[in-house]
Amino acid sequence: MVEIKPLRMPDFETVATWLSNPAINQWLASGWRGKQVDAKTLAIITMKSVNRLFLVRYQGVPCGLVALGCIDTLDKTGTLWYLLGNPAHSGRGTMTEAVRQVIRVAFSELGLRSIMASIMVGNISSRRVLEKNGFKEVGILRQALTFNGQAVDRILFDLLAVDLATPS
Amino acid sequence: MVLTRESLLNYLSTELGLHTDEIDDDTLLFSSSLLDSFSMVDLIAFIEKEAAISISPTEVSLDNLDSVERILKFVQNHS
Repeated sequence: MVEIKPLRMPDFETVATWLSNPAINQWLASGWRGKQVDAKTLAIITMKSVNRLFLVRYQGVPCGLVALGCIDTLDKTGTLWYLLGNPAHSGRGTMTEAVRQVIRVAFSELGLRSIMASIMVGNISSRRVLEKNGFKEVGILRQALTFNGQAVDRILFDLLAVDLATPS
Repeated sequence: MVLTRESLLNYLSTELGLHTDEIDDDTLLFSSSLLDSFSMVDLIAFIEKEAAISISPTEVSLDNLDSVERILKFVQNHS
């Protein structure tokens, strides 16, 4: 069973370890990349209302993080990002379900109208998580990311609350 | 070591790019988005080094760190 809960102090260390793991860190936004993340960093991130971080647990065991950042209550938008901390859960649909639950929070509880997400070109597993949750590809920012020293494209997705309300 | 108002303002200006002549001691730095999260990480590291204190995650709060005034008060009361 997959569940999400707001990220709080006792779990900061666990999540900081994931974020600092080079295998995970290399995929993160530039602000995180190459940095050693600690519990203090997460305390800072979570104390700002524009960020909502959720710990993902599978059968009670922490295994990932789903976050909404850049929450704009005026334009009713937010940016989704996520990571799987425990690779043993890869391919099981854990993140797909966790993202689905966060989307519900975003639209129902926070009243957002649109959620944006992006992936590095070629990140198939991350793309699958978005597409299974109804995200639509809306554009490509060419050479907008640096990966292993190379410029790579960033693919943009969005999901509207009305998309979920309207049967496709 | 002692964290002074001058050294704090100097850091905010030279390292974090704030126009310190435009902020007051009670100007909210973080909740107003003058500083982003990663600037706050750097700021806390500076405070720890300058004041020779260790700030725990439980002490990271807007009450303690969201303005020049709050930072100086927090450091002053930190044991």
